[in-house]
Amino acid sequence: MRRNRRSATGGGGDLHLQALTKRFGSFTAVDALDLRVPQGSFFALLGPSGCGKSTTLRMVAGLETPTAGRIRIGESDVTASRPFDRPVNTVFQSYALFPHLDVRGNVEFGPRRRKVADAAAQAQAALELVAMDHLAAARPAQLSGGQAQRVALARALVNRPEVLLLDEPLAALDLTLRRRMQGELKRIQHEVGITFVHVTHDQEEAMSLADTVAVMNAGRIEQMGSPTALYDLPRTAFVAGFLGRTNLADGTILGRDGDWVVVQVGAHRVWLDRARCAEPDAPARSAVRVGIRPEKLRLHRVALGEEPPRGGFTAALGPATVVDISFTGVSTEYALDLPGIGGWRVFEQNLDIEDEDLRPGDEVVVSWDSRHAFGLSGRDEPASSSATEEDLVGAPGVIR
Amino acid sequence: MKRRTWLPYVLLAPGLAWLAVFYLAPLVQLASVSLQSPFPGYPGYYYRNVDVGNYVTALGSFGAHFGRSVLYAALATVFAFALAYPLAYAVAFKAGRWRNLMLVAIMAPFLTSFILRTIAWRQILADDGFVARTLGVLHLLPGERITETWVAVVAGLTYTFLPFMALPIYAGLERVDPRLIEAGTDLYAGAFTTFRTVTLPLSMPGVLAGTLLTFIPAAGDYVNAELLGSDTGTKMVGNVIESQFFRVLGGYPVAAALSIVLMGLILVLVGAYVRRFGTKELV
Amino acid sequence: MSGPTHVPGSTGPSGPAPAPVPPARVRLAQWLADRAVMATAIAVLAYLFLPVAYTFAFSFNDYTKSNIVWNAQSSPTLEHWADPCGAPGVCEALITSLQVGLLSTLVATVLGTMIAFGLVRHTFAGRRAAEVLVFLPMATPEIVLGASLLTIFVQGFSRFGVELGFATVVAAHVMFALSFVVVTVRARVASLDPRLEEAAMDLYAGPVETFWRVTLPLTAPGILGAALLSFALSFDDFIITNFVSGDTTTFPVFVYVSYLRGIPAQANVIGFSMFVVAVVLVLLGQALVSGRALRTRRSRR
Repeated sequence: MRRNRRSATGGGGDLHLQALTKRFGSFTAVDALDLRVPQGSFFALLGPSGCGKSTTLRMVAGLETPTAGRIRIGESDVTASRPFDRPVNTVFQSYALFPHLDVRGNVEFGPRRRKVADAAAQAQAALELVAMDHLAAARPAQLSGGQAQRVALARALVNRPEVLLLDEPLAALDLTLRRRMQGELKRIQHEVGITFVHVTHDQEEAMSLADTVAVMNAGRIEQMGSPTALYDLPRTAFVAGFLGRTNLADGTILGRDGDWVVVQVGAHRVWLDRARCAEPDAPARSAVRVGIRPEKLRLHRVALGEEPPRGGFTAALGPATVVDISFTGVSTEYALDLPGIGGWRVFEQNLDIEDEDLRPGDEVVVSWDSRHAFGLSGRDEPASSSATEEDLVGAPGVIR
Repeated sequence: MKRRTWLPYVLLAPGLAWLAVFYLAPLVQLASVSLQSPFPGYPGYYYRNVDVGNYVTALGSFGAHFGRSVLYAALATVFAFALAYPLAYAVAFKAGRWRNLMLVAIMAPFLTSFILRTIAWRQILADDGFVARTLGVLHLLPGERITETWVAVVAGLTYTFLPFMALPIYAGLERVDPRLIEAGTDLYAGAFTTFRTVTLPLSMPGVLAGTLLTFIPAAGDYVNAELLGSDTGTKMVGNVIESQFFRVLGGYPVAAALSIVLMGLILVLVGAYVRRFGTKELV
Repeated sequence: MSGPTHVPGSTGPSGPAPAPVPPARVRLAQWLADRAVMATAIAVLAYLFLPVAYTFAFSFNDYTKSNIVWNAQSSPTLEHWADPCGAPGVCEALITSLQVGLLSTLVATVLGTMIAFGLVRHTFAGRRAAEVLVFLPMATPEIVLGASLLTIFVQGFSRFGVELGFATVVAAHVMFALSFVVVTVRARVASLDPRLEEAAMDLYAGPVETFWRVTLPLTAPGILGAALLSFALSFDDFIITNFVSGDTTTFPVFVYVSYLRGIPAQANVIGFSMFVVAVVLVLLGQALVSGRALRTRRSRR
């Protein structure tokens, strides 16, 4: 996000949300949200359904009135302005194309309402941008899902808004089409240079499209950053569980060793980089949760006398029992049971052909480079309950 | 939109005012008339009173008419249902490209005047007509005739209100997802079982609406009884109310009492029916 | 009662892959059941049309006093079709009915559409009461409506100079058509995706423009259907009209009254013509809609 900020223009057309709050009765959908989306960036709001991301979007569009807080675009405060007075356009979930108008009529709708002189030419250009000009005379009912999606995009883009809002724009498409439209969206955003705010519950979509991803949960932003930063160093168990898979182990802080925090997990001692801890100054004897991604783990067969390398930054847990093995071609996924800690997963790339395959029931020790582990607050609850199986499909680094 | 709290009232006010003046106020007036007394010595004049006697007369002298109204209307509703359901079912699921044409056909007879069509039934069922003579030859006609009997009245009511039964049932069936029926066929195999366990329950809201839209006007009708029935044995409440208003001097209070009782009776029946089967489709 | 206005679209999604073929016995039973249902439906339609056919046939009857019994002595005649206004009063009654129908349809459609929008789009105090008030006239038998209107026109409103006649008939027709309009339009408004209006607002249309450019065009079929239903109810109403019409004679009242004295065959001519005109209008409308659909489908290629 920071690399995109236009400091020269003083954040000219940035979308700026300040303490934005929306309550429905006693339910707080969006809770004092602070957010700055730099002009021209591709920003994703990611979260499970009901986390408040769509409500946030609707407030920016003007379709919902905030209970408190302000919305600014550049220097102008649009909090109180009506939807038709804002330099904001929306690509609606399931598109909301006008069924009584043909494709051209849909795209021309905005320019005509703004009394633009060359509405027809602008509409034509927008249709060409999304490669839909050949179907300009068709009715929305005759379009396929992907075509309707393109028309919805053209209908919004033709107005050259300061901010384009996309409300789960790809949710109605099948998987193949979704991947293709992701590429299209990214290309179009590059071409037009408009700020895109993209709401989705699909973590892969958010991570592959956006410059910056904000993970929302229960009306608040849990963590915000570039996709790599979020994946590499999640700050909460929710983020760790919602983006990709994470192995977690509860431990107790024993003390500090230079830049390292020493943690007792079961009978073992592991190390966490202080810079990779959510609470780097937590005192000794307080609870901490150690997280490590499945692809960062190594397996060592107890029966063969294999042992983790000594010294360096290596940490290890075990022995564990192999519960399940699934071979997926490029990698093999192992489900382990670590007594007293829980179920872990390990992904091993299939680099070489091994004769001595592991079998369920075998005993193993897992090890990792301590620089890859991260520390979370011990009071934190993971997201695994709210992240559905669908959300996890195709996560980066997760090969199924 | 929701910010302008006055808007719904502006939208509703003219229409509801119309209903207040031409529906509610007349009912109140009707109730008040039903308690008036005829002015002694001045036929056609009344004075304000709380005369329950009109109700005593209404129920005492015309109880049989109430019975007939409810009975005939109920019979007509059952027959209309039996005829309308296959029709609506065929239009919804079997008609294919003929669907719109069949829908038009259900509505079309509306447009020839209801009175003209009822008169046509009198001609069709006439003593020397094909129907009466055929039934007579087959010895299926004990009274030697159809017109001037309750059979003709119920037949006429059934005919008159059949579209009111068929169209809501069609609308209800049309909303049923055909995939549910396919799933039913898949699970139960038998077409009849599928119909009984899936299609019929799903179309119940339409049947409910159709039943009410048939029964209510049928119970208040008097044209069928007037044109197809006899002068004595088949008159319904509607006939009494009509004649008390138009042909009996000083008949207003009793006629009003009869109307109020009819209205109450129907509200009770409708209320019980709706309570039994739910009301979502109607209001 | 949303039925009368319903214009069905395509026959729904093409179902899932066909189920395994059932045994021949089951298939035969299914085939027979399908035929039986269709045959019953056609028989019921024939039953619906039988009186219309009678009305048509008797419009050629060369009768002497009343057009009730077929005159077998004389051959059918076209003289009633040649002079449809030949019987005294029949065309005046038709014109009155058309006037009452158009005027009451206009008022009922406007007022009913407003109520429908208010009920669907807003939550407000007293909404439930308003719904009940709209529902009640449909649950009230026509004779009670007619009787109550008669008493208030004669005993209550007469002090304001109200007399039974054209105006009272229109007032009554608007009242009973209003509920049907509300129910019909409401179904259409409720099925309208609110996101379409949000999209219009998002695309720089103010509330007024959103209504005219999106809301109204999308609810127009429902409103038009409600208007047609309203006109049909008004044109065919006899019971209520008979109570409140005074000396004004609508077409159904004319037919009913002349039945007792001797019904002219011109009534049959007019009744059947109305039927034909309406059916032709509906079929033309259908052809227009499907023709437009066909054209856009072609232009896509």
